[in-house]
Amino acid sequence: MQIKIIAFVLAFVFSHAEASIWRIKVTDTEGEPIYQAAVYVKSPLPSLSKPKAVTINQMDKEFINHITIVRTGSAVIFPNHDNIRHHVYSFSEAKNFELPLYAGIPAKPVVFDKAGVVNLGCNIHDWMSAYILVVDSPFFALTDKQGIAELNLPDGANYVLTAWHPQLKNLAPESLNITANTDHGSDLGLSMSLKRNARAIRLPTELGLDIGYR
Amino acid sequence: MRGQSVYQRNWVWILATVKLFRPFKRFRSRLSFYIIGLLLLILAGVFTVVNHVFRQNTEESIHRELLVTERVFLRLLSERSQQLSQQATALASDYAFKRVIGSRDQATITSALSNLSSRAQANSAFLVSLDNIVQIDTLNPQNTGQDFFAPELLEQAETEGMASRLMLMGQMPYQLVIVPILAPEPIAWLCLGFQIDTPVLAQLKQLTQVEISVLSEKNQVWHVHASTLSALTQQKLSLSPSQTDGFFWHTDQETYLSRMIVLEPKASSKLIALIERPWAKALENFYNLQVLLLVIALFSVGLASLAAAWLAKSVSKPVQILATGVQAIGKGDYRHQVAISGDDEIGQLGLAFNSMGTQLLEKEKIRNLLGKVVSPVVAQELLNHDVVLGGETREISALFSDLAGFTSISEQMSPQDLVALLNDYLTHMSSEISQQAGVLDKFIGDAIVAFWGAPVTAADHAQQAVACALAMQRSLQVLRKNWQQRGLPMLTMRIGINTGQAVVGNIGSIDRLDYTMIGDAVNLAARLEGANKYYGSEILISEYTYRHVKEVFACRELDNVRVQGKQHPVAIYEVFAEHSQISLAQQQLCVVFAEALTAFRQQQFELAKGLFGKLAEQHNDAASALYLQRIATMATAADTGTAFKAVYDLVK
Repeated sequence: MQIKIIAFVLAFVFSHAEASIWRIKVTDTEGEPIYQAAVYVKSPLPSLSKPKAVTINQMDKEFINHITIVRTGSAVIFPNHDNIRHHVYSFSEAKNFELPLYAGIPAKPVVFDKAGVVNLGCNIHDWMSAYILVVDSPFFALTDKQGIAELNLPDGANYVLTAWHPQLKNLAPESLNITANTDHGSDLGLSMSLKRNARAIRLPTELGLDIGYR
Repeated sequence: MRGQSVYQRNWVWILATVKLFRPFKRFRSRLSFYIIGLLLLILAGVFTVVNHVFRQNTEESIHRELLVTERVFLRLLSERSQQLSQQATALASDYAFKRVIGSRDQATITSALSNLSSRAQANSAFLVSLDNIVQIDTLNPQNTGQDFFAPELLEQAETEGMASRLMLMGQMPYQLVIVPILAPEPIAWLCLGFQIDTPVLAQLKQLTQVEISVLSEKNQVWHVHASTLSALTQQKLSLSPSQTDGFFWHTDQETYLSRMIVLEPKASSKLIALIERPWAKALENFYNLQVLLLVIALFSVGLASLAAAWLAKSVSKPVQILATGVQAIGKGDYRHQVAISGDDEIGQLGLAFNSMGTQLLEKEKIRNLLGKVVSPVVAQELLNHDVVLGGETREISALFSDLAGFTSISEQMSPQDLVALLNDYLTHMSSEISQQAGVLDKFIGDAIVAFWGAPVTAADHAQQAVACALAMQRSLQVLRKNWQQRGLPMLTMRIGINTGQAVVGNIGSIDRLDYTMIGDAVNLAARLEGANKYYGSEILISEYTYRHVKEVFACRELDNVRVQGKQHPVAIYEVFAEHSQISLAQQQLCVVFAEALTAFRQQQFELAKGLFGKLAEQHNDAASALYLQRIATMATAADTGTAFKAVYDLVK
């Protein structure tokens, strides 16, 4: 176990040493920055390391976070921090699973071994909704409020990048090519059209929030 | 228009009736007819107005009710759709169902959907993918894989969370509800169809109390899908033209007031609902009112008839009594009194009538009394005209009469006998005067004063006066025989008549007056009456009278006299009789006396003396004796030369 951790840290340090940061701005068709958009390298890369274990917490009857990006083959655990039970499920094509009524940390993590979008729900709480984007790459990031995602890519290779968002209108996201000689400071951008956030996520009023379907 | 012609017809009918009943002779029938007629007219008017107003109000209130009902109906529909949507939402949240969808096993999903729709008692169910492709269609399985027929509903559901609509599917109206299936984000659309059939409408009818029909229009043809009306009515309904705001339509038995509600305006499958109220049911209250009005009308007509009969009786009965009374008065029964009491006008009329009778009776009494006190002719004249003081100058003939020697016999008789005798005499004499249409002026003891020619003008007043004098003398003959039997002395009557201008009229004071005459002509008549004594005659007339009567009556001239205070002498004549009735002896007397008088006046006294003597002897003629005496007197005073007088001074 210790050896595993050391190897992981070494690999990270090694890879980091040879990588540099790319800033990619994601905007909608009108140029407005998109928050919480997933930006990832689409092109398949040889598996350098074992994917990290990922945790998606449930707190105050919500998933944290709303969007989580994982590498194919990642094991995700769903610790329940509430004092009630949850029933996490997904009927998405990428991963159809359920963790029937449980409290605390489930005994086994769920392994997401197929790329795609997984919509998480809770059978007890209709408003609880979260996404897991499963990608075949270790390079991914979420945009900040300025719509900027910072990707740490090793130099000397060509990458095909793409973006995703739950409100994405087009199911096939745009692509962005980053070649080996692309300047780090250059303006890199991805644009996509989103559906109006009409399908407002509302929470029952008892929580003082207004998200999710009733 | 129809109403107006009904009024016209009514009016014509009323006019005809009035004409028909005009010949009502009896007041009572007429009054009853008019009162009842008027009442019926008023009632008819009231009825018409009430009818009109009520119908209008009813129509308005139905319109209002329908408007309210429309709102209620739409609200019920929306509530129903909400309720169905909630039901659908609940069903869509079914975890097992979501899991089945997650399994992507088409057969299982279809089966689960059927199960779900039967839970909701939906008539059809659809599962539509997020890209609007029909996954499952329980109504028409062949539609699977095709685009969903109502994409706009899906759009609505996407923005609002759910969508509902009434629409026609397979010739049936449906309430369509679409909700998303959330896991937890939408993974598919669940669409449930609830057929709107007659039981659903019946339920709505229970709540709204109106008839409801659902129709669709295709190519201007209306088709009834469901209705709370009977099947026969539905057929009629589908033929009726429609308009949005309230309209009437009717079957053979019923008239309905309807309102059209457009449920689905899309031209290709226009869906409407008709809410209807039966007109007759709405007018039910009015029919009750009509019956009540009719009862009131009958009651008031009955009352009016009684009132009219009573009124007519109360008017016509006194009128009849008064008519009888007037007839009695007309016949002279002034004592007739009518028995009508009361303070009203009729009562006053009765009192006035009775008072009139009393006054007529009084007047009649006065008339009778007046006729006794004054001459009937004067009485009539006085009654006919206002009595005023004053007179007029006209030519009259005045008559004075007197009983010679009455004073001497009055001393021999008791006052009662004397009065009886006098009354007897005066009664007979006044009767003669009346018969000759004379005016009896007054009685002065046994003396009678009368005149002719006033107040009623008569051309032959002189003849009437002389005829009266002769009649009085004849009447006295009869009386004398009576008196002779009672041993009373012979009484002679002296009469003087003169004709001339005199003032006649009401003379006296305003309280006490006489219709009488004054003037020289009257005085002469009085003198002539007295002069009879001197000439031994019974009737003396002046030459003025003589001129009027000489053709009728035989007279002889007696003398020329001068009345005291007058210069002009007057010839006086003695009346014998009518020419036709004069005796031979009288005729002879007249002729010889005239000869003698002529001789005397020519102062052939010897001849005159002879003739007068003969007459005094043969006829026992007082006048002749008087002349003989005059001649004798003149002889003794022959020496004077002034002894002869052709005119004799008439003294009192």
